[in-house]
Amino acid sequence: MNNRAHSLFPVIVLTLLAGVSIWLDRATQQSPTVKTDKTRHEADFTADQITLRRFDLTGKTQYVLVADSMVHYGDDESTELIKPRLDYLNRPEPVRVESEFATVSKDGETVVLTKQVLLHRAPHDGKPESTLRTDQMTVWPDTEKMRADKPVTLTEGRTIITADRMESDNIAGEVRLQGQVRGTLYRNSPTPKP
Amino acid sequence: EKADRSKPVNIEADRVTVDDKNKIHIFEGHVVLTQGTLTIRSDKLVVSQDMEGYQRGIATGGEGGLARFRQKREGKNEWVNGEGERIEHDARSELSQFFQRAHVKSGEDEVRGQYIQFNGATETYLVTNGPNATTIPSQQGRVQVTIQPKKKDGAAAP
Repeated sequence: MNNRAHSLFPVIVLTLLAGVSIWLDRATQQSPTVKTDKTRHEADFTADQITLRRFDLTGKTQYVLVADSMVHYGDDESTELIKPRLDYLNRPEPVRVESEFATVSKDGETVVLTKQVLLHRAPHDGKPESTLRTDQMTVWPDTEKMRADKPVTLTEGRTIITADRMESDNIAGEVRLQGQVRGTLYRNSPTPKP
Repeated sequence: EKADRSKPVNIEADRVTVDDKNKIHIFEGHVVLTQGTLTIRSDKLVVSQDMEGYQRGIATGGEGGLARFRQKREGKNEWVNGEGERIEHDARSELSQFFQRAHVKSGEDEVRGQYIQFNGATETYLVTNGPNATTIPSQQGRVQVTIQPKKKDGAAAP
């Protein structure tokens, strides 16, 4: 009986060795990472001359976004727009926001506009046309809030106000400018001289 | 000076809130308003425009809690200096009203009271010892008016 055990011994050792080597092989082997685009900021689709319409709960057009072209990135689902123009329509006075570039976050919640950002509000009920210019501005389209951490120039008719930063809430109808505020306010004569 | 009121208003401040709904501009922090020869310094300044677009400013607070006003007199090389916890200036009527701890000095003349109304057009004052142009007879807050005799043209402020 004894020698059988003896003859078994090398078999046991061999299976042990084989087991260890398989385990070692599996442990050290890099799991083959497929080059998914998740790790690289790569476009997964682009579009040209786009028009995007957003409807509010009542089905009315809340805003229309037009752009020369757009690039969509798979990894963070963000979108880059070239020459975007955003028109807010269902308001007493139309408001337009445009710039050279814009990046739109995944669910379109945050839009960062860069280079020659211009916000234009048409004249309405006695108030003259107003514009706001800056180099970079973040817009939250759904809550119609905006913020610029760069110098801004606000005009209302001939009145001009410059400042270092800006925050605005279109719904509350408030624009707050901060830092080195300089304003030249003219009498905007609502009744145009004949 | 009369010409001031049609000139644009220049304002410097730390912050401004443009309130569309009420059509006002609220300037805050080291506010300096200049319009022609008129200057108003305060902590806060609310500017509104009436129908014809004339600006109206309400300045509150400032150094020592007092807003300050300075304007050159019409055709004279004299300045009107005023201060009060609140100064209301109306470009159309050219009325400047000073509320609480009001003090206006024009050339040699000096006026103190709880409320002073200085009419820039006629360069006349109304001063009372009660707030908001009310008079309180027995109150010890008295009105002090010092009017220097005019040497030359004799047009003394009442």
